[in-house]
Amino acid sequence: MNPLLDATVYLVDDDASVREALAWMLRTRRLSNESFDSADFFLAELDVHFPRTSQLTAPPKYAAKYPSCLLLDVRMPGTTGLALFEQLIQFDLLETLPVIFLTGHADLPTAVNAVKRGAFDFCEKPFSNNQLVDRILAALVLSQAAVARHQASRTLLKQVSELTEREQAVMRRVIEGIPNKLIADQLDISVRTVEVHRSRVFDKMKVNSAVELANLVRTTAAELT
Amino acid sequence: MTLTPQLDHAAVLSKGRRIWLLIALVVLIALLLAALVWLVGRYEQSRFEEQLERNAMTMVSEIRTHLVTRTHQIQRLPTQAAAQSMLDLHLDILRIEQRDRQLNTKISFNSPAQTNGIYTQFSRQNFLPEIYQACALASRSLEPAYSPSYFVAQGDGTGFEVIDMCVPKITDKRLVGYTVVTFSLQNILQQRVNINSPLGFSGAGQQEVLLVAADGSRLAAYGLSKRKGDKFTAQSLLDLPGVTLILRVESWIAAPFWLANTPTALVLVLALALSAVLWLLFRDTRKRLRTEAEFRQSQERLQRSARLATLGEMASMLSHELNQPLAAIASYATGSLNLLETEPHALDLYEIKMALERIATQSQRAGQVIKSVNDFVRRREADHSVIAPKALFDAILPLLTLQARQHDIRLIVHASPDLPRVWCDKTLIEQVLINLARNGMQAMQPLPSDAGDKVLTMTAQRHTASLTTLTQSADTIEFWIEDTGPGLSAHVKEQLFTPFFTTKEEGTGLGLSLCRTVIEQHGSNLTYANYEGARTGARFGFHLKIYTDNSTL
Repeated sequence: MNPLLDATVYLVDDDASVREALAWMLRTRRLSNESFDSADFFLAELDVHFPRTSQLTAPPKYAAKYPSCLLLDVRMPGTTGLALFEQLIQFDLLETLPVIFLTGHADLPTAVNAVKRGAFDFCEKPFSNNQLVDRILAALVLSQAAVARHQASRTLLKQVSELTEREQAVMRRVIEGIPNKLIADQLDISVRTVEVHRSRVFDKMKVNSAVELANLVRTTAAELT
Repeated sequence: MTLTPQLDHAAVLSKGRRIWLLIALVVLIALLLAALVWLVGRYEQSRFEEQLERNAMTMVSEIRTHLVTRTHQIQRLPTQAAAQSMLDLHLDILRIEQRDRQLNTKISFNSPAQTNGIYTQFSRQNFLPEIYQACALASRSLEPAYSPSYFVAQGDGTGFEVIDMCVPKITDKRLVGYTVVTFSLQNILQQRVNINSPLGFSGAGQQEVLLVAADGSRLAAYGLSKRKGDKFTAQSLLDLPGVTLILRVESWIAAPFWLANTPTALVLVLALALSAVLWLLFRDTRKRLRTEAEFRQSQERLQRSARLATLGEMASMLSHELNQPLAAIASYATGSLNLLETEPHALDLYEIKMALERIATQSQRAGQVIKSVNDFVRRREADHSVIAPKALFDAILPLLTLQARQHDIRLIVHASPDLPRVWCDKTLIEQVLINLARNGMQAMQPLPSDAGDKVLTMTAQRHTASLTTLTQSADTIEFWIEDTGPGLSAHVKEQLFTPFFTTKEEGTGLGLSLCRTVIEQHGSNLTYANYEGARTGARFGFHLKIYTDNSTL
């Protein structure tokens, strides 16, 4: 029934009964979930659930490793849902961890504003649960794509870093569509050597043709920069 | 009766009283000031007069001493040459004559100022009676005596006012003759009187010293005073054997006493400073009173808006408190359905049971919320009191006046102060009145300003029982609030009392439904009527029971 077996729904709400009921309902739909009774607690455990994408940046950047989604109550003591949301924007986490706000009637303008700022959606309490689950599934699909993109770009980066300097030079020209002969002239090497480098690049990048290589690089180019 | 908004009746009264107090204070201070200045002036004046008097006495004694000195000099004249040199030295003596017992002139000397003597125009013989009179007295007393003063004209319009002094000459205790000395009164004054003697008053002009005969005619004058302002006079008698003269000192003071004098000026400055301090004090007090009044007003406004805010807040809190259990219930219900649909054969009954139990718990929780609201409303019943219908309107008028003025709405209140008092929860009924009045005003707000009069009428009126829907008999006070807005549309009428139904953007939709609850708690109904045709508008009304000793709800 659920194609996203490795997905996780994170749930942050200060009201225990709402939290437990929602968690139980999600389990009946085979959605594994993790509950937090406050935004602060969620922030404290952020490192456990989401790996950092880079060790250098400040504020640190995070990305989910598996398809994920966050159900966030707006009105909470301590750090509010909105403050946590702002924090997640800083962490670059929204793409792999879409946020769905749970709101009371008075928080409507806040929720609308949050959606404008990048939240996936909001759901008014008392919510229609199956509608909520539909939104959760949509968010998870989005997250899955983002996670996959992150994964691909990470792989590509790793593969490119394993190429020698000469192989990288050959690869750049192959992607640009320059014939082997011209490449040999430009790099001042024999056509035969170019062919050897070329087949090694295809091997290491796990592609069969120049077209495939160009596609791979183009789709993940955004992640590379 | 149109009520102009009087924010604080007591304050208005005391304001009138304050103005009278202020006027009285100013008048008193002015009177005090005037009296003080007048008294100081008078004191200064009397001091000045005394000084003048003292000066006159000093002058008289100076002249007397002078004459005595002259007498001694004359008595001891050793030679005739000495007599001539005395005339050379002393200009107050015009002539010295030696006469025998029969008063025949033996020898005479004239003052060098008048080489030919003064008796050129009129012979000395003309003045013998004066000499006889003086010498007769002298021969009787054997002491120097004086003649009455007389005038010796010089022909050129001038002349000398003189007196003769007759000094008896005694040798071996026998009268042998007389020395007659003629004094110029004018010269005596000029020589012996210090017209610059102090007066102790800076604003005074010079003094003028006069010698006056007993009949009042002026004989000699010295010194000139500017004849301007107030004249002050002092006189002293110059009593000589044979003649009595009056010395008069005159002084003119041009500037008023209260300006020219240090003590008066000091008093004036002090009084002015006192008034300034009083004025500052008054202003300060007024400012403080105003601040206090403003503070009180804003406090009242705050309380009212707080009361209004509680409505919205209560609604928000209520929805939040109810949303939580409802959300949980919905989750359990949906989850249970999910289980029933997906695993109809391998159903985990324990799971379903748990979910149902949770649903029951959460329902109770929701019920608890409702109960606490009921408790809150019930608690208010202890707040019932007896109050005049007009007082209910008066309490909310300041708030409404403010809003009415903003939107060019005329407020009319019909409430006689003689209406019997009602038994109600004052706070809640005021709340209802405010809500209804605000609804009325908001209904009129969108009307263009030329759409005619925007009027909100608030009425309290005695109502007889037969026509009301109340079954409790007793007479009631009917309250109603009427606007001249467009009235209620059919759509609005349908949902008028539905909670959370609102036509306003920021409305909670709780106003009218809460109003109805409050009115129903007071044993009445919230009724409404719609005017159509030429004069549109809406009217909301309710009844309150008139208070009797056994009034309870």
